Order: sequence, then structure tokens, then C-alpha cells
Amino acid sequence: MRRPASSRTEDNGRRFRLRTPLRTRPWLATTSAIAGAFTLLPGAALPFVVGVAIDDGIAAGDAQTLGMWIAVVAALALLQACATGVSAWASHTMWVHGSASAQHALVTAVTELGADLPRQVPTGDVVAMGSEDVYQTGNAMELFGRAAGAVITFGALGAALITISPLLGTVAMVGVPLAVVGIGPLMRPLVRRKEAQRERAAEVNAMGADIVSGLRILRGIGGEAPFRERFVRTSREVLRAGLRVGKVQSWLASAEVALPGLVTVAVTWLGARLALDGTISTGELIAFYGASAFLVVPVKAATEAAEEFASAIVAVRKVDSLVRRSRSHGEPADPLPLPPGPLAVTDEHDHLPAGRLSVLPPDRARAERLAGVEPGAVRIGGIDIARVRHHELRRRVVLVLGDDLWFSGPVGTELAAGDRVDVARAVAAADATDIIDAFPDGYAEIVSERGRSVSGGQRQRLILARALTLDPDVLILDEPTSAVDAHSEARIAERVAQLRSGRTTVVLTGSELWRQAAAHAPNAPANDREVSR
Amino acid sequence: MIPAPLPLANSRDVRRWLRGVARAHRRLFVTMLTWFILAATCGLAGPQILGLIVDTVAGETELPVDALALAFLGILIVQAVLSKMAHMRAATFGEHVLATAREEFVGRALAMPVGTIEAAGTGDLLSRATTDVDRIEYAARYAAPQILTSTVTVTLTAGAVIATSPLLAVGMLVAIPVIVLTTRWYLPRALPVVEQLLSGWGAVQASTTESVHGARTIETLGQAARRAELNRRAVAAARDEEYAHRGLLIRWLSCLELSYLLPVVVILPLGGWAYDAGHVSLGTITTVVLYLLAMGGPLNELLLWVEELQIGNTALRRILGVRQTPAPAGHPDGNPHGEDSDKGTATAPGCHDLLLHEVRFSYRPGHEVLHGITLAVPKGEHLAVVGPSGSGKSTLARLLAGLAEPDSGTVCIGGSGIDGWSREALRRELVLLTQEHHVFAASLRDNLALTDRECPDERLLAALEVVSAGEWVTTLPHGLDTVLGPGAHPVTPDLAQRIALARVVLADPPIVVLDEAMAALGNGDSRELERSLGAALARRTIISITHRLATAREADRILVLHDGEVAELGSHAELMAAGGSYARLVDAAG
Repeated sequence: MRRPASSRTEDNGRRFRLRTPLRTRPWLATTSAIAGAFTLLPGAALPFVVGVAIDDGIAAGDAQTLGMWIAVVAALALLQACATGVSAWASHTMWVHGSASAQHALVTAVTELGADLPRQVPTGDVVAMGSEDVYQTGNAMELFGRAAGAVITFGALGAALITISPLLGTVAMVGVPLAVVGIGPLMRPLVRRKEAQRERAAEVNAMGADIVSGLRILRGIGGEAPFRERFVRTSREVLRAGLRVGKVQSWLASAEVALPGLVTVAVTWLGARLALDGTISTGELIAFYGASAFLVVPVKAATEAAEEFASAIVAVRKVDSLVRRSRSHGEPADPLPLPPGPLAVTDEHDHLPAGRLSVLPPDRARAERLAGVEPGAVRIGGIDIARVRHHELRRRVVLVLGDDLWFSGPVGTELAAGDRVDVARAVAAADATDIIDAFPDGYAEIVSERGRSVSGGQRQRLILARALTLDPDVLILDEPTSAVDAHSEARIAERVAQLRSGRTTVVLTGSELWRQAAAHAPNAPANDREVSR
Repeated sequence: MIPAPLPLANSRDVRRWLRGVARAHRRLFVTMLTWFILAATCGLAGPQILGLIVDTVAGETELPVDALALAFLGILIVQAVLSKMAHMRAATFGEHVLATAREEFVGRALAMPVGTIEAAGTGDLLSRATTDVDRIEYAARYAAPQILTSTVTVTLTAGAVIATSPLLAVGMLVAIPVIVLTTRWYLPRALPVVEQLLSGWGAVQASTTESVHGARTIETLGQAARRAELNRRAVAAARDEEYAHRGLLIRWLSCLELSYLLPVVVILPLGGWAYDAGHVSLGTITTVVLYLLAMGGPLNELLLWVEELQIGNTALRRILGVRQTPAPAGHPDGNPHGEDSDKGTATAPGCHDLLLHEVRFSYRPGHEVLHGITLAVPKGEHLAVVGPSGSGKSTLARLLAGLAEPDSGTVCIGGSGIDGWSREALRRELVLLTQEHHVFAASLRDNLALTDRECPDERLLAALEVVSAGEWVTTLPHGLDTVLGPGAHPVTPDLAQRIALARVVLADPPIVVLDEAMAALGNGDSRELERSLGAALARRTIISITHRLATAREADRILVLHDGEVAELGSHAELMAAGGSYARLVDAAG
């Protein structure tokens, strides 16, 4: 073991929980809950107010009372409009805040784990976290205010109804939640079938994307017809599955009408009898009818929020499990600092002098050991590499591998990985000036993910230039020019040797051109140039 | 290379297309609408019945309350059944729209001229195939049925208010200007913002995905802090778009909310006056007010979903836009099914000599890349093309494969200019293999036998043997029927390249152009592979563009391209004897 002081996935003390985003912005959460309640309360109060206005104002022919109640309706309308604005603002902000917090926690964990990430977790799972679980956190945050408001409204409305008529109030308060919640379990098997169909649909879409990605091959060699047939066949299967789901799912639409409707029918019937008895007034009957129809809104909101919270908890746990991970090799127990200035690199076979360009035969595993990405008996500047702090090692020793990823974005921004060597100088040394010149937008040109929009040789030169801007004390290059033509390779070897004079550069390659460049390189002694920082 | 983005269909085309799909499923469409209207009509019964009960309680009419409640129950059951039937038809119709859209899209993409794909880049097409298809699925499955239900409900409720009391219905009018004006203010402002924020979150997701895939590169380059910062910036950009949208949204929503209650404020005094004057009963006022309160929900739903539908509309315009890609003259591959029929001179000649005469080419006017190339490659020759980057090697390959047409000069095979050939005829004659490889998410068999599905196993295995992948097949769990691809059985870049070469061996065209086709393989591997490939493609013309001098050495002749001109041409021995740039390079490389 390279770092004996470490234990596997020790707890780093970091956590990400559902309450994390709520805690960091407590006022936002409170505002969102209060505004959520006030978007619903006016709507809940309206049937009562209208009922009283009809009873005491219109039926009694009292214009002044009617006027007063109309003013109340207008005030409620204004209150609801304002609360809607505030609530929309708060829940929108909550969504952004929740998603961004989860996103930030995830990316920080990913960059911290670095090369350890693929060893510890399947990358597909992490990508899925970034595209789904992060937004699930936001969805839960967004619904927080509405859910809190729904619970408050339900309680207030229930209290009012039971005060007016204990019998009718109880029927409405028990019936509506039963009807709404009852839809859930009834439909759960249908939801599962729906998800299965959605997966099939995702499959056919992935197939379409696959065909488009390989379009140049199909158009170049042929084979359009069988691929189209295969696609249409899958598409038809998805269609048929969709029809089956549509059939079952339409029951859901039906239940959403029927179940709350039954409660309204019951309330209307009971209410009518009570009104005939004179137990309740006409206005109260209208209030009950309106309230039982309205009650569906907060109950539905609360149910939806509960479902959303349940899936958000699963999502947050996934993110949390990543956030809690640490590198499998922790920091050394008794770290030693690297000496300043150029550093010599030594492994079991060779001593590579400080401040020189050395050429070794191609060996990827050895390159990784020399850079300390994989464990090995390596000394840097005379220090055992296992005793150097991780951050210091990564700052002083840079490794470039053939399959390094090119990140998408404006090429100038992506080239500027470091600022110690000017981008234009690094580009010239990597013989990549012609690539930039050929871009219509020059350094502002967007090079797509993985550098797909440039050729293999061009990508290799850009990757080399990117590393050169860092100007590290030790630069280890594994087969840096394998896809580059011999003319360019000769230029690159010569210019890199010149640019890196006074710094340690190790090139692992089979190319004779690099060997010659190393032989002709100015053997500048280490103290020739200013190296300390 | 000048990018030429793929076209967008305009809104009229989208409407025409949707009408076409509706016409194709006419009965379904009509019954769907009928059931929706009938279901919504049933939904109007509640306030009417309550109005009757109120009048009975007030003593204005004498109706049995129990019978009214029973009728209410009956109507509710009918409404539930009708909703079920309507939603089922809506789902069916939606699935048909989606299936038609995706099948037309893929069919059309498969028939797209290669030049158009090259000019637009696969990225644009890919985002249409993924993001836009997802968006129309959302619109068709969720937005469209909701909008349909809400529209029908709102319309019928408004109609019911008018039918109940034309006098009180006047009160509804106050809501209309508020809704219309604010929505007309909001939608044109919001749509571009929504598009921006969707692409903003798309960028965040892309940045996260890249950080995950490039986690090792981030570490070896010491970029952890910088990547996290770039990601934070991407999130901040998306967040700013969200806030811009939020600003618009809260103003619009507040106004809408106000507009739902305004009519009640107007109708109550109106009702008070009309009741006093004896124009309306208490029950009528009750019914109208309840209708108005019931209208707020579906109206709000309708307006909120309209935005979703607009996004779906934009996505559909992008998807249908692919149908409008022009088929260039001389390449009759623009027919919708991609089955090219051989036309005119398209029949492949028996003689396969390749001839370039004074070929000039420029991607941008004034920036000529090839300056009059004249070259004859007799049938069966192995020609290597070398030269520094940017000397025009790959451009030459593209011209040979007919992916681009020369500005002047001609490319002839067997004495006939390829500009008049159909795509089908040209690819029977010549196949271009570049370093861009794609392994389809399909079985190894489907990946290899692209053109000939009946191809016997022995031939497939023999082709894999040629590219030294015979042993690999035996390690696969299901041999030739193993499904490849990232989700199933991942394939390394090295093997992807071998599979691509095996496809060429199976296609067996008279002329093969390899443009750095073996760049992903190590030096030793590629030389070994080239030998076995040469044996398999014996008597075929091979033009290989390479940066490896060892590969060039084994060719019959070597063409040295310099700044778009033929610098040297001859066998290895001849060029070494001539002592030109090639000889210097070989000496330098040792």
C-alpha cells in the first residue's frame, strides 16, 4: 500500500441531506410556507363569503351589507393575487436553490475524488445523479411551501366547516382526503406499468440517437434499410405498449373525477336535507358545496408533495453516499514537503535528472506510477512519493495520457488550464497554431465534448498545449504525439524541449524524433532560470 | 468547413403535419373530441343541481331533494365513464403522433445526403433526436390532454353561464382583457427565456457529465478547483435565466389569479340588483357564482400548459425541419425512403481506374485548400498519402468519396465523373473509412453485416479474423449475437476500429480510402493489421492517408502532399533516391 496511514472510504465529515438546503436559507423556507398558505386560504374562504353575501345581502335585500361583503371578496382577490406572486417567487427560488445545492455538492465530490471516482462508483450512476437526482432535490424544495400551505389551509377550513355543522364538516373532512389518497394505492400497479412503458420509449429514443450518431457510417457503407426496419419495429412495439398503458391510465382520469365527486354528492345531499330542516342556511349549503369541491386542491397538493418528498429522499441519499466518500488512499500520516525548484524523478529502473527532458520507452502503467496516480516505488526530488500531500503532488507533477478527456467549451478557455505559460506560446510549442487559425472563431470556437469536432491528431496537440500552460515542475507525457504526422512531431519535440528547458519533462514514446530532441536540448543547469515561487 | 445548420419547419408546416396525422386517424380524433365535450357537459351539472336545491329551500320551486341527489350521482358516474373513454382516445392519438414523428425523423435522417450531415454536424441532429423528441413526448402525453380537457371545460362552463343567465354572464367579460393582455405580454417574453434556461441547464448537465467522465484527467492535470468553479459558473448562468423567468412568471400569475375572482366581484352587485328587480332567482345567482369559481382551476391549468405546448411546438419544428433538408443536385438520394435507384451513368463501370484532373477545392471562398491536383491511381494499386497536417490530405479523401464536390476539375472512376453518380452506386465502388468510429447498440452481427443481413457466419468470422478480432469473438458471451454498446457490452476504441475495418472487408468495394483509419491502434498492431488487410483486399485499390512513415513505406507509391499541392510522387525507393522532403523525414525519424 502506497499510503499506509489511510483506511478505505473514511468518513470525510461532509453530508448532503434534504434539510441542508432548507437550513441554509431558513427565511426562504418560511416565506414559501406562509405564502403557500395564503394562496389557498382566500379560495377556501370565498364560498363562505359568497354564501353570506347571498344570504344577508341579496336574499335580505340589504345593499349595505352586500356592499361590505363585495369589498371582502375584492380584498380576498387581491390577497390571493399577491400571495400567488410571492409563493411563485419563493417556490421558484427554492427549486433553483435546492437543485444548485445538490449540483454543487455532487460536482465538488466528483472533482475531489478525481481518479478514484471510477474505481469507487460506476460512472453511469454518477451521471444519472447529475441528470435526475439533483433536480429531484429541487422539486422537493419547490413543493415545500405548497405542502406546508396546504396543511395549514386544510386545518383552517376543517375547523370552520365543523363549527358550522359538525355532521357535514366531518363528512367533508374525512371524505375528501380518503377520496384523494384512495386514488394512490388503487393506481400504483398502473403507475408501475406506465414506468415500464416509459423505459421502452427511452429505449426507442436511444436507438434513434444511436442511428444518428452512426449516420455517417450507414450513409458511407450502407445498411440504412435494416436499421430503419429495426427502428420502426421497436417504435411500433412502444406504440402498442403505449396504447395498453393509455387504456389503464384512463381509469386514473376517471377515478379523479369519480372519487372526489362522490364526496361532493354526499355533502350536497346531506346539506340539502339539513337546509330543508332549517339546520343550516342556504348560504351555508353553498359554502359546504364550494368547500368540499375546494378541499380537493390542498389535499391533492399535500399528496403530490408527499410522493415527491419520498422520491427526493431516495435521490438525496444517493448524492449523500457520494458526498461522504473519500479517496481510498488518504493523505500520508507524516507528510514531507517537496523541495522548491526543479525536481528529479527516480523509479526502480532510472534516475531522471531535474530540469531535463528525458525519453523512456512507451509504458502507460509506468507513467502513472511516476506521476503517483498509481502506487509505485518512486521518489520525487528525493522524497518518497507516498509521503507527499495529494494537493502538492498534483500541483507540482502533471501527467498527460493519450486518452485524456478534452472538455467542451471555447477552445481558448479550455486551453488555459494554467496561467504560468501564455496560451499562445503553449499552442505554438504544441504546433497547434494552425488548428486555432483554421477555426472561424479562433480561440472562441466551441470544441465539442471529448474534442469530437477535431481530428485525433489535432486533439492530441490541443491536449499537449493545455498541459504546457500549467508549466509544472514535472511534466510526464505518455505517447504525446502518436496521432501526429512526422513533420509536426519533429517540430513539437523541438519546441517542447525548448519551452520546458530548466523543468523536468519525461516523455514515454517509441518515437526517434523525441530522442533526438532530448539529445539536442539545451542542457540548462537547474539554477539557470528563476524557478522558485 | 462552413457549418450549415439544419432547417426549421415553420409553424404552418407543423399545423399542416398535425392535421395530416389527425386526418389519418379521423375517427379516433372525432370520437375523442366528442367524449371530452360530453364529459365536460356532465361536469356542469353540479352547480345547476345546487341551484335547484337552493330554490327548493327558498321555496321558489318544489322538487324532491333526494331525487336531485340521485340524479347528481347518476350524472357523476356517466361523467367518470366518459372521461375514461376520452382520455384513452387522447392517449392513443398522442402515441400515434409520437410514433409518426419519430419514424419520419429517423427515416428522413437515414436518407439525408452525407454532405448535409457533415455541414450541420451530428450534434444538431443528435440533439433533435434526443432532447426535442423528449420534449414532444412530454407535450403529447401530458400537456395536450390537459389542455384539451381544460379548453373544453372552460368553453362549456362559459357557455353554461350564458345559458343560465345572459344578464349575469356580462360580469364574466371583465376577466377577458386582463387574461388576454397579460398573456400576450408574457408568452413572447417567456419563450426565449425558457429556451435559454433549458439550454442553460443542458450545459450544466453536460459539464457535470464531463467532469464525471474526465475525473481522472481533472486529477492528473490538477484541475479540481477550476472544474468545480466552471461548473459553478454554469449553474450561475442557468440560475440567472431562471430568475429572469421568475420575474416574468410572478407578474403574469398574479394578474391571472386576480382575473379569476374579478367576475365574482362584479356579479354579486349585479345579482343583487337583478334579484331585487325580479330578473333572476337566488338559485340562478348561486349557479353562476359556482360556475365562475369552478372555472378558475381549469383556466389556470390551461394557461400554464400553453407554455409547455409552445416548447413542444418549437421541438416539433426542429424535428420536422429534418424533412426539409435539400437533396443536392446530382445526388439523387433525397427521396424519403433513401432507396436510391441507379440513374443514368450510375452503373458501376467494369474498369476501376481512379483519375483526378486539375482538382481545386476551398471550404471558404478565397481560402483554397487544394490547388489543382492531378493524379492517376490504376486499379489494384496501394497508394499512401503523407504530408503535414493541413496539407489537404483529408480534403482529398472527402472529394474522392463524393462528400464534397471540387470547385473545378474532375474526379473520375473508370472514365466517368463521379458527380453524376448516385450515392448507392458510388459506395458500391468506393468506401471511405475515417478515424471516427461508431459501434451501434446492436448485436455484433448487425454491426458487421450492415448491407447484407443474410451474410453467413463464416464470412463474418473470416472478416473478424482479418482484423485480428477472431479471438475476441470467442470471449463474447453470445458470440456474434452479443449486443454491443455502453449499456450492454462496452467496446474499446481499439476494437471499434477493428469492427469498422471488418465492415470494409465485408463490403469489399473495388476502392478503399483509409483516412488515418488505424490511428487508435498502437504502432505494432497497426502494421500487422495493415498486412492482413492488404491480403484480404488484394487486387483492390487502397488509398491510405497516414502519418506513420512505416505504413507509407509498404505502399506501391507514396504521394507527398504539401500545402494542397503534389510535392512528390513515387515509390519509397524512388523518393529516398530523390532526396526530397520525404527522404529527409525518413532520415529524421530514423
